[in-house]
Amino acid sequence: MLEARGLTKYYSAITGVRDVCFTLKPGTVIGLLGPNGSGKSTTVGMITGLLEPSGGWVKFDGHDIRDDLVAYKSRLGYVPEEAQLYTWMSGDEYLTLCARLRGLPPATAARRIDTLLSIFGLQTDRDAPMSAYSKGMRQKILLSAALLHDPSIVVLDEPCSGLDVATTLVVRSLIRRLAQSGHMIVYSSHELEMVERVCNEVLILSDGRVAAHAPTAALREQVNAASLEDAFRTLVITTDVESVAAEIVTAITH
Amino acid sequence: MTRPERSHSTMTNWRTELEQAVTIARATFGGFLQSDVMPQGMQASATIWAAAFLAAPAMLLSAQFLGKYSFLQRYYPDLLERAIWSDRGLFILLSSGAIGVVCVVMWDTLFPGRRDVFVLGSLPIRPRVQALGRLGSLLALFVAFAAALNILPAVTYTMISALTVTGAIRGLPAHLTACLAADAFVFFGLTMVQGVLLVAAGRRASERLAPIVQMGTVLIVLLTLLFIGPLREATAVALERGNALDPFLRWFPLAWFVGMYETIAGTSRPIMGALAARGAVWAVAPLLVTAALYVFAFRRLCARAIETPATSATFPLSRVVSVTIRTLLVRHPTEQAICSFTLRVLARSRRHRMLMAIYVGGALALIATAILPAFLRHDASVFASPTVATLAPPLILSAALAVGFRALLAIPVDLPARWIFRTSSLTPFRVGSGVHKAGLLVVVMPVALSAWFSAAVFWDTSIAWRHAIFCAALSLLLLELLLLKSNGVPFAKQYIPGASRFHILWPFYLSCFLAYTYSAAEAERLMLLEGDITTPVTVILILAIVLACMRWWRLWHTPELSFEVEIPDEAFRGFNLSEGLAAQAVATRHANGSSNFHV
Repeated sequence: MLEARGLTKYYSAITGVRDVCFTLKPGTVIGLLGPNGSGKSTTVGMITGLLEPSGGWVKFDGHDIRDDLVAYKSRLGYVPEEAQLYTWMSGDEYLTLCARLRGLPPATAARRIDTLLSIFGLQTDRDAPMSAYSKGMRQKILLSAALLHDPSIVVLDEPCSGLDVATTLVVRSLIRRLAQSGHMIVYSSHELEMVERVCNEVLILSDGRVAAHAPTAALREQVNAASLEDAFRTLVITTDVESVAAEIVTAITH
Repeated sequence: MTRPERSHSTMTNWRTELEQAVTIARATFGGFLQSDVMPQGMQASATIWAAAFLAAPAMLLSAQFLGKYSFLQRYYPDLLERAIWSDRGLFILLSSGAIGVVCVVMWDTLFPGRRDVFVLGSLPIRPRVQALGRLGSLLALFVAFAAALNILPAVTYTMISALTVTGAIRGLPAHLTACLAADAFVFFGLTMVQGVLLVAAGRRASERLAPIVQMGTVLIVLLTLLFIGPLREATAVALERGNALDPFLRWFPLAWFVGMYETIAGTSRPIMGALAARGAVWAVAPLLVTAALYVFAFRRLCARAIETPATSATFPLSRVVSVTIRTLLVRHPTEQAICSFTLRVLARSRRHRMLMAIYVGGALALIATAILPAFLRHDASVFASPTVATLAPPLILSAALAVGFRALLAIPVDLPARWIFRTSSLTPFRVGSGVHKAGLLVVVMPVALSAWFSAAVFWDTSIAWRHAIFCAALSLLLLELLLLKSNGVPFAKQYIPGASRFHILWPFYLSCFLAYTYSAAEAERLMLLEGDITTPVTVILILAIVLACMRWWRLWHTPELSFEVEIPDEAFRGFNLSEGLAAQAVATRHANGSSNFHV
């Protein structure tokens, strides 16, 4: 079980997030939602151990992750928001690097890399440098790298960015299946429809604070919304989106 | 009515395009001086210090020559002209050597890359305007460095060396013109080579050939500087002879530019005019070829930047080598990951390849200075038996490779991509072990092989084995010493210049280098004469093991890997501005937490 309590992060005098709390049980997918600058990436940073919280803690199976980060990271799979890769490596080399860093036995690593590259349709490009890959291909490499060692916790930050429709559908099913097999998944995204379909719970952040945290269906009921998008509009969006769009059109045409 | 409107429209277009070209030139010029290697905000000061470092020797020389010429004029008038040629040649060599190093360091930014094409390609800007902007920025870069290198030395040297008012008036433009022409010859000669390679052979081939060109340039520059005395003397002697058919005058660039200097300064020697003309042609020709490449082949250069087809990044032979290394030397998966990552960065990162080429080029130049004088004195007999000159080269190579390897570990590659290490369960001990094994492959193995082959070719296999073992043992000791304080994942921290305190400790480093190479070679020669190297090799290996144990102990007791730069305390106290600014920049980033956030 992954448990976060009172997670707070300050950047000098600026508050990144304040008092974020949630509990993630095995088999659960939690959706992390919020507008730009709401603190999603900071929260993800603290969950993955990349950022040290200014306050609060994250516990994994009852132990503060910062007490033994090395052990915690061995159970973690992470897809970052931006496809930051060593692009002078080939896809095969990069996945091999990840497998070795995760301590996978060579035979297991080779078998899993082969399988994942085949499933994602990257076999023919496996030895080409990733600088030649499209955004979607790089995203597939990131997904493969995150899942290669069968992690207990999977943190996905915009995992479908750049993926084609078919692969997006595959990822959707994959998240469900991973959850069914007991994995814990943190899914950070702006795609409300996708979040609604795959997540059991939703944590909505706004201005660094938790605006709402509830099971997806319960959240819709709480604010009497037909969809998660409507609920999100009600809880977070204070501006009139139609008037903003009209203002933009006016600004560029006059 | 139509014609004036069209004329007005053409004029407006022309102005717009000029403004676009100037904007591109400014943006590109700014990009030349920016780097993601160092913390934000310190690139400019680092560049200023680099320029000052390059200009300082010429400035100091002017002071050294104070009173020299009036003394010669009074007491040795026959030697005056030759001394002036020689000193003017010195300034030209220093300036052109420095600009050659600048060109090598900025190699990857001199022609449009993928990012330039993607950024500018989607904008409504004609290719000719883009080409003009890029070319303008290249010219601005050249002028900026050439001016920084030459203006102050030109003023001070002219004031010191001019014996008459007319001499002073003509001396300044003569100095500037000759030095700038020599700089243009070197700078645009290198850009021309790069451009021709890009257009003719393609981006991939030119990237593969780049380290060789860079190494060759560093080799030539260092050899020129190391043999600066004999070269100046030979030039002055050839100029004094004044034979237009002298091969030295026809083919040695220094003679052309000294001739240009003398012609503008008002010499009466007819040979100088011919040399000046030759110098002018060779200064302008590379510039024109570079400009032509930009203007006529810009589309092709841009296409080369983004259309290079993807081919395999690995080769069958490298797979075999990789399996062998994994089986024999690097067995733990984490160590394999770190070791292969280190080797791939050194082999594929353009920045690291370039810097390693500089280190190897420097080593080759020093090897040449060890062998060439002995060869010129004794012909081929210098290779008849082991001497310091013939035993030292593997040790010089070892010093360059070990120091280069250690220095390059601190220079980051693709910093945003380091998240993979930060989210992996790595221990300092395993990471340190992986780096160490990469060091064995990069430093100890090539040194042992080069020592064995050189000794086997010149002497016999018995000496070859002993020479290889001795050099390998010393290389191992040096590697252990250099890696003693190494910590963290290689290439994954921001670079802080000045950590080695080279500007203060250079006499110490120089002494260590001389002891490690020439003194050790002399000791080895004596031991080879006596026939036994077992004892010294054992002592060296024991020392290496002691250092390795110290490193292991330290890594074992390091709780976790650090990805933040460690600023040496001395950085705040030293006079080195770039270190102080670096420290401030990092401290600021620590304070606002932004360095943590992105990765």
